Amino acid sequence: MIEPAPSDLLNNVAIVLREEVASSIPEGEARNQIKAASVIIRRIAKVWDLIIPTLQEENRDIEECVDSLPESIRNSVESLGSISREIPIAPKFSEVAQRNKFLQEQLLEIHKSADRQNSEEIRKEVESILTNLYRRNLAREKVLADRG
Amino acid sequence: MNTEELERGLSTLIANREPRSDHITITDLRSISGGNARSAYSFDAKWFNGKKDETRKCVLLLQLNKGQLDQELSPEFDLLDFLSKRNIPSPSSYWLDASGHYLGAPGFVMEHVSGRGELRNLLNSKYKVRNAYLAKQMAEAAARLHNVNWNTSDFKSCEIVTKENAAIKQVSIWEDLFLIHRMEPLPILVNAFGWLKRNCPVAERIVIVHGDFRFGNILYEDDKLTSILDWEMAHLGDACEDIAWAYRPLWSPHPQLAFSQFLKHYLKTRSVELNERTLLFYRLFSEVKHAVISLTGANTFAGGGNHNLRLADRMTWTTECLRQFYEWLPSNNGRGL
Repeated sequence: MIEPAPSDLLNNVAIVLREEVASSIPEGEARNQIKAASVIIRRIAKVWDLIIPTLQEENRDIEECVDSLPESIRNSVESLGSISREIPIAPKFSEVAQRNKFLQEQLLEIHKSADRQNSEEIRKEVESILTNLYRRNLAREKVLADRG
Repeated sequence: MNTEELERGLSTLIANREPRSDHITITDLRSISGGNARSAYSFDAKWFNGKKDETRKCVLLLQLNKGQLDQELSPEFDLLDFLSKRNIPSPSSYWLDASGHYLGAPGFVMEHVSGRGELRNLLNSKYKVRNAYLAKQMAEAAARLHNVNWNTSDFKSCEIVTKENAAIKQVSIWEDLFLIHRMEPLPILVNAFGWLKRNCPVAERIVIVHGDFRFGNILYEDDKLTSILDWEMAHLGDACEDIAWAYRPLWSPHPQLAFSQFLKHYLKTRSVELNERTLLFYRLFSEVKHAVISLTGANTFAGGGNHNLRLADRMTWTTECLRQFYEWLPSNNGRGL
């Protein structure tokens, strides 16, 4: 069964909360809480189906970025071990999120390693690569934000 | 505490703080809109001081829940007292209960200044003439605040900083909060803090910084600015910090008054040059600071310390702040601005 689609279901819940439940409650904290809940539900309704693919794309981007770094920097993340890059065809959020967290840890190590570098040239190169990576991540997040 | 208990607590607090007070009555106690961390109430207090009746219109701020930020109350209380003697538009502070002994939670009572504080109206172009006039008064108020001589014996509310360490102190405060509250590694913010630490400017002069200086924190009556509120993040630092914060895109008065006009009015009262590079640094710092405030709120909600649903989804704000930071970040990635 595909109907009601999760987006429609959540969106309709948000509408009822805002337009019927909230308006039937006197002004005050309870009403504000209902309105805030409605805003969050409406946002999730619009982006829920993009969250996993966006995170997968981010993971791929970070992996390619780490691979492109100078060897002396790349070696710094070896101490973190590795987890498989193999992703199931239909991954769960928790699987993609776990991989993302591991990659974020790698990036932290890379920052530390870059700070320790004697070569100003390498440090600048790493900073430039990572800053561009972060800008791409934010651009992907913006697609979600604009939709929500 | 219910209303009656709070009234009793306030009476006892006043009796303790005003030595010659008798027949204390608390009336019209009601909840008003507070911040995310504090509950606010207005009330009238009346007592006999041995010679005559004294009446004060008051606001009580109570720290009932964990919020986006949990600042100590004493420095803010002392600062309001200091500023009220120097003609800065701010509420006078009356009585402090730092431990919550009287009020059930830490809190303080301050003057109830008349006026409205509605950001939506202040950003509404329908009232552009009035709003521009208010923004000019805000610029003048900032200049007056930054002109205050704090190097006096009765100033005890802020940590002393130097021109050299003012910026790094602020960066460190927000980085520490970030490290406490982050829910994932967030190298994107670690990188932003790295940039800020490498590019801290030296302040031209150390001034009292409001710390949350923006259109949403003013009170006004008709076209007159009556007070500046929310001094909980005040500290000693660089004037550029307040100016940059006031014109953040999220709440900028820009459609009502261009930044150049705001600066013009600021400089009428305070004849100093604001360094452009320092201003850019604090614009970038402001985005990181607000990213951390939002992250802290989201984490506090996630941890059950606050049940305010407006905080639940605040990580979306963090992303927005970081987008602005990386948009403004100099393209050489800041090996010097």
